[in-house]
Amino acid sequence: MSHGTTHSYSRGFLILRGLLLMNSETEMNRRLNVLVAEDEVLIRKFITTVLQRNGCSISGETAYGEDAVRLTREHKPDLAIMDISLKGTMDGFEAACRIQENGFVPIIFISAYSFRDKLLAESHPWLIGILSKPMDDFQLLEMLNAAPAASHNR
Amino acid sequence: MNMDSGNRLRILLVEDDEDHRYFIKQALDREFYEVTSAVDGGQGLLALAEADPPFDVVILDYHLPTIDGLEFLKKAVMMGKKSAFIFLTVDSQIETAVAALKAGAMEYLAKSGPFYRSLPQLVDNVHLRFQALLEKQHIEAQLHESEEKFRNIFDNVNDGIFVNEMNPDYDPGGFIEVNNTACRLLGLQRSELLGLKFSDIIAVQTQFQFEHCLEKLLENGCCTFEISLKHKSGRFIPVESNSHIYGFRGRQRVISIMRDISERKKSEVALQKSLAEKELLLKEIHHRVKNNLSVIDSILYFQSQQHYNSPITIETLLTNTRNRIKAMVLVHEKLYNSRELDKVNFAEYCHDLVNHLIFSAERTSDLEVNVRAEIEPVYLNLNIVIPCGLIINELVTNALKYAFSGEFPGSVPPARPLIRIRFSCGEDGKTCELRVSDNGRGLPEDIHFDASDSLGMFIVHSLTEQLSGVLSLSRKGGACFTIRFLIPEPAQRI
Repeated sequence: MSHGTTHSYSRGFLILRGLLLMNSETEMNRRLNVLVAEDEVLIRKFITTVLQRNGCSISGETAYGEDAVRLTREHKPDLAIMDISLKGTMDGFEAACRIQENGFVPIIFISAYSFRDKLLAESHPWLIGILSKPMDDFQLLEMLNAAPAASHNR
Repeated sequence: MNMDSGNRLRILLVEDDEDHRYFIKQALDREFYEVTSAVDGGQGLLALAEADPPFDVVILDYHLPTIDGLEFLKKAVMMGKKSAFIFLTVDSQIETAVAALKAGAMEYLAKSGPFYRSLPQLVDNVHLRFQALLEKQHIEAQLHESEEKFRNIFDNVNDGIFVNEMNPDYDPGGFIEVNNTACRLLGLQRSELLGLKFSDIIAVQTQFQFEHCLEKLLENGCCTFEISLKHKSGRFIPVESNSHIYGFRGRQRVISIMRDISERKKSEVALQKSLAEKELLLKEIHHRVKNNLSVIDSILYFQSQQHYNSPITIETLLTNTRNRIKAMVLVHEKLYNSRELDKVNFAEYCHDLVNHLIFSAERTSDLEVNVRAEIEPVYLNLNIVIPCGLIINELVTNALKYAFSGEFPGSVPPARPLIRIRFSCGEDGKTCELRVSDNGRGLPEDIHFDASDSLGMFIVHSLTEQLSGVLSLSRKGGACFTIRFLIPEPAQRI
């Protein structure tokens, strides 16, 4: 168990470094901008802290689906990490679909229900993956690396 | 005939005329009958009443001194004695004879010439006919009883029974037999129901289903299916019909036994609803468990990332973590005992939480601190209770650790250290205020209560945000943290 974690740590860490390095050299010398939508504040802070410590910038954070749509439009993040259950009337899945209406933004879902994976995995091109709660910070970083570029940033 | 003495016919002769009596007796004695004589109606009726077993044949004269033969006959019939009567008339008075036959006599004989000579033969004849009559009556009574018995069972079966013929074109004909339960099931009289067809009593919406079942019935000879019947009042009754085809005198008949399944349907619906609720509940619990573990996971992450200015023991670190977990566990403990699915008695919860915190503090410190909780008795949703519980946990832990130790600049330590927790819901039940205060040394101005190096305060700030609340702090006369927030629905007061 501990070996596995150590392994994933080094791999995730290195891959992310590689991505950021690639970004900074080949593109606009820019950090990865991430929107975080999660209604549990402590979990949201966990995600933002992990991301910030690994060279990402947070272009917005919220507990509401509606806000996630608005913040994406305003700040054009490279990627959004969203819980499927959010506060407000719009859940994470609906918000993710709405977000795509204003241009392609890759999404990583966080979910407490693992069975939803199958339901949602119906190959939406914008869905990078689903992280099950409680999530592993290195798994999160690894998944970030798999993200294609958002269309408004191409 | 009847030579066997045990089987000799027992005859009662009611005759007032001594000569006639003599001749009749003479005629009958020769044939070995056992004859009892009576000279008038009274004596005759007495003999009749006392006879056990009853006389086989009674020879009765019409002209009797006290009561006449017809009157005698009526009384004898009323006695219910099973004897065959031969009526003797004076001459061929046909009216009397007819009246006697109507009153129950088997035969009549006119007293003319040596009439008594034909009596033995007549007695035997009458006796045989009467025995045959009794036998017939007995069989009829048995048949009637049997019919009644089966009809009774048929009518008292708790299921509706419908019988109809199957026409040669395989079209079900009208009902030829139904039981009481079938009538009750549809609210119809038996006479109304007989002759109706299936198509008349089946609800339109299940007609198609029925036709499908009919095909199966013809194919297999039997079929069980669920349909709805139209009650006279217009309401529909769901029934389960168990039908099968049988042959009766060369014709095909269908018997359908229909059971009212309204209650079963109702409980099926209730069961399904309950199942859906439980499924939802299970999902909800699953979600909460994973979310709470996720929160603990996040807190542990922050703890692992902390840089401590002062050395802190692993024991303290773990105790802090355990208290946080305990604050969440207590919510679930309360939830398990709660009548509501997602609400907890907040006052009870706080009471347990505070008890736990005091107990936990007493293990590591000699300081005696009173903790007083004044919590409005309300049910609160888990989404509110968990952040509030964690906030109380952090603030009380903080106060126990710092408020009463170290130096008291410009004041003296309180004689009775006290931590107060107050919670109120406001007039509208929505404007909540959670306050944790102490009478300790207060917070020095140079300590920022949002200092990022305190995990406890970080958690308090995060959870205040979780509640969409506002945190304020008073530093004078002890520390006092106040969090005001709105809850979406008025708190349910206890």
